[in-house]
This record gives sequence, structure tokens and C-alpha cells, in this order.
Amino acid sequence: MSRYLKRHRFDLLMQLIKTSFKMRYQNSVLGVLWVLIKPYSTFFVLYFVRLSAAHNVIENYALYLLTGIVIFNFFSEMVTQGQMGLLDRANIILKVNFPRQIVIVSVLINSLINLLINFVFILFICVTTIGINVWGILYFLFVCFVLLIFSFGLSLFTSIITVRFRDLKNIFDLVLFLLYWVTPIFFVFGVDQLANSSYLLFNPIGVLMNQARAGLQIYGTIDIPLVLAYLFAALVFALIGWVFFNSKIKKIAEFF
Amino acid sequence: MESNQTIIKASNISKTFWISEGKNSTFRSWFISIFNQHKSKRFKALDSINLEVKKGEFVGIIGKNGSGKSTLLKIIAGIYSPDKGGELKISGKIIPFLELGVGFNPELTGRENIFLNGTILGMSIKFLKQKYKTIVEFAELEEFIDTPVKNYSSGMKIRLAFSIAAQANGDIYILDEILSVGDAYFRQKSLDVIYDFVKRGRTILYVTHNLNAIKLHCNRAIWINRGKIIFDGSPDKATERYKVAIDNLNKVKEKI
Repeated sequence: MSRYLKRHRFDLLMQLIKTSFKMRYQNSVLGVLWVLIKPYSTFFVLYFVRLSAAHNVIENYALYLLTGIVIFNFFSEMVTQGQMGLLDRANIILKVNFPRQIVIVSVLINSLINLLINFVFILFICVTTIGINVWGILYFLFVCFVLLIFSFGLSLFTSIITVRFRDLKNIFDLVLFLLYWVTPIFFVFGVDQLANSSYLLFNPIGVLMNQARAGLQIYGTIDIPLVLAYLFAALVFALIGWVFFNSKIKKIAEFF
Repeated sequence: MESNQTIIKASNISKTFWISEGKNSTFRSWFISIFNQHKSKRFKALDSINLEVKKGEFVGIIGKNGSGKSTLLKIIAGIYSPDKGGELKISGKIIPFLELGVGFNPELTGRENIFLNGTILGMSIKFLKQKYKTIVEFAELEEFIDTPVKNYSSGMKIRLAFSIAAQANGDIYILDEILSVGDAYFRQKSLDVIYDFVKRGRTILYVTHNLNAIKLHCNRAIWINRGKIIFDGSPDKATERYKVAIDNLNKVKEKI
């Protein structure tokens, strides 16, 4: 795609990414450590609650839980930030004309950076415990990429609709909150009396999360055709989102 | 430096806004409005505007607040789309100076803001690096360039913003009240820049309430009232008639 991206548009994208990264961490005492504090504090709470409640937790449960939290955070951050992408930047959108998709891409890439920082730590733990292979890492990243494409498509819709209907943000906050409890983040299929995981089909995040875990040999088995099918669906979704976004973006300017 | 080449051609441009009583910007209010018949009013900000601007013209635009000047500029800048039936043809690159310092981030330093604001205005990083020295020198901010912009005085901010925007290379410059910025010394300096644009055959659309500035700088003036062009011609005549109209309005008010 970069071939079609003019040089200054790429520069603008990089500037937006840099700025929000700096804004988030530059002025805080702990800086970039904040990227790690949120998932790890959640991890410790859930981990100890879980250990005190059950004995038959799977092998590598700590890594299972950690990857679940990190991937869900990645997804929920993309969804919430992408949704507010246009509104948060109303000050530039109402003054300068540039391809607005850049704004959406920039917030998703910021979430991706946070994911990668967390991923380095997960890899570190993997190396010292269960070991890793390069293909597994690539598979993990590929699954995250599918999530990214899906979130991009979703944000192309929600960023526009949120300008028109502000309470969509509250609705999405609620949906994400509920999604957290029906996604296999802390519970494990087969162990937690949920042997029949067919309902997982209705929760693509759960499916992809387990595939990412499979890549790192933490839980489950790799299913490449399945992930490719999800990728295809995500691409189609993003394409429809792209068309929707382009058809509405000019009209939406007057609703800011 | 006028030529016969038409650079902006607007035919039958109208813009209607829906103004709802109690903004209809949530799902909740939208649901209510289905049952509660529309309370929103149509407001025609622009009413079949026909305008042709030739390359190299310095066009002043006058009119009361809310007369439609800014809406017209925003349509020309591509931020709003006009109502159906209107046609807008622009043959050149537009540099919108609708507001100085678009996207300035107060937490970032002057240096960082040059690159952020510059890329928002459509310049590439490479180009900005080349022009960096010129920008800082023109703004006379050498000493403070690594200070966060939040610590700048408003005059310093405006100087930096103008210096960045002045580097943008375009064919059409849209200036909304920006020549009235800064102290007399900097105002003259920025005027020189604008005159230099004119000398190089650039087209300028200039909105202001300063009638003397129109008389002094422009070679054509347009008076917009209630979304319609009611005068288009020499700046002297336009400002004269506008003054008379305002005086009459004040007289009527005094009587009441």
C-alpha cells in the first residue's frame, strides 16, 4: 500500500504516532513502564484469585493468562481509540483537508507498539520456561495482524458513527466489558466445565486469542486455514468500512 | 500578476445545515426524535453562490459574523461538501490558513511542533528539515525553540505558527483573519510574505473585518450577506457600501 501513500502523508502518519506516544509516556514518572503495569497488575490479581480457587489449572497457566490479558488489552485499546480517532482530532480535521484514514491508522499503530513492548516480555518468559520457535512467533504476530485488520475495519465504521451519535462510546465500553467475561482470558476450555467450545465460534476474539496462544505452544493447536478464513473476513470487512468511511467523511464534518 | 486563468470556479454552491434544538447527537435523542416530530430547523448558510477567481487575484471577503464567509472558505478548502447541485472546480493546491497553529501540541517543544504542524499542513519531513532554519529565524525564536509551546506567549505561538505556514507551497492561500496577528513589526513582516506570494502569482482569499486592510491589499472584494454575494468588485466601493450599511444598522438600533 505504501506505494500509493505519498511521502508527506507517510510523514504525517509518523508524526501523529510519535506525538501520541510522547503524550502518553513522556510526562509520567514511570514513562513507558505504564504499558506493562496495567496488564501485569491485572495478571497478578487474576492469577492469585485463580490459584486459590482451583487446583487443576493447566500447565503454563501463568503464560495462558498473561497472553490473554495482553491480547485483549490490545484489541480493546484499538477499538476504543479507533472509535474516538476522529472526534479526538476535531481540531485538525475541521481546519485542514488530508486523508482522514491516516488518523485511524495512527491510533491503531500506537496500540500495536504497546502490544509489541508487552510481547517482548512474554517472549522472555517463554524462552526461560517452555522454549519457542521462530515460526511460532511469526504465527502469533500474524494472528495479531488479523486482529489489527479487523479493528481497522471496525474503526472505519465506529469513528464516523460516533461523531453523529456520541453515546456509541458508552455502548462500546459496555460491549467490551461484557466481552471480557465471555472471552477465554482467565478461564480455560476443557478445564472449566466448558468442554463444548462451540459457542466460541461467536466470539472471534476468543478464537484468535487461542490461536495466538497455540503459536507460542501455550495452549491448543495451530489451525492455519481457520486463521486465514478470519483474515479474509477481516479484509472484506475493512474494505466495506473503507468505502463507508470515504462516502461519509465529508458529510460528517458538520456534526463535530 | 493577474492572468486570465480561472483557478477557482464555484457554480451554484449552497450549504444547508440542520440545526436541531438540543443537539441530536446521541442515540437516545435520535430515538426520541423518531416519535417526537422534528424540531430541527434548516439553516441556509450559503445560497447559490457563483464565484470565479482568476490566478493571481487577491480577493478580500467581508460580511457580518454568521454571514457565511467561513462556510464558503471551508467548502473551498474541501472540509465541508456543498449541497447537491453545486459544482466546485479548483485547479491548484490549496493552503488553508483557516487557523494558525493547527494541531499545535502545547506539551511539545517548538522544534517538535514545527514538524507536527508542518506535516499536518502537507509538507514532508525532508522539506521541513531544509526549511527549519528559515522558520526559526523568521519566528525569531532561536532561544526558545526547545521550550514546550505551553510556555510560549500568545505572540510567540502565532509567530511560530505563521512562520511554518508561510513555507507551505501552494497555488491558493486561504487566510481567515490571520493578518491581524502579532505586533505591528511582525504584522508587517507577515504582510511582506503575503505580498511575495502575490508577486509570484499566487491566489489569495482573505477574510477580515478590517476594512482598511481590504482597501490596502486586495484588488477585488466580495461582500457576503446572509449566504449571498451582494457585491463583487472594487475594494473601495465594497468597503464604502459596507460601511454605509453598518452605519444605517447602528442608526436604526440607536432609535430603538
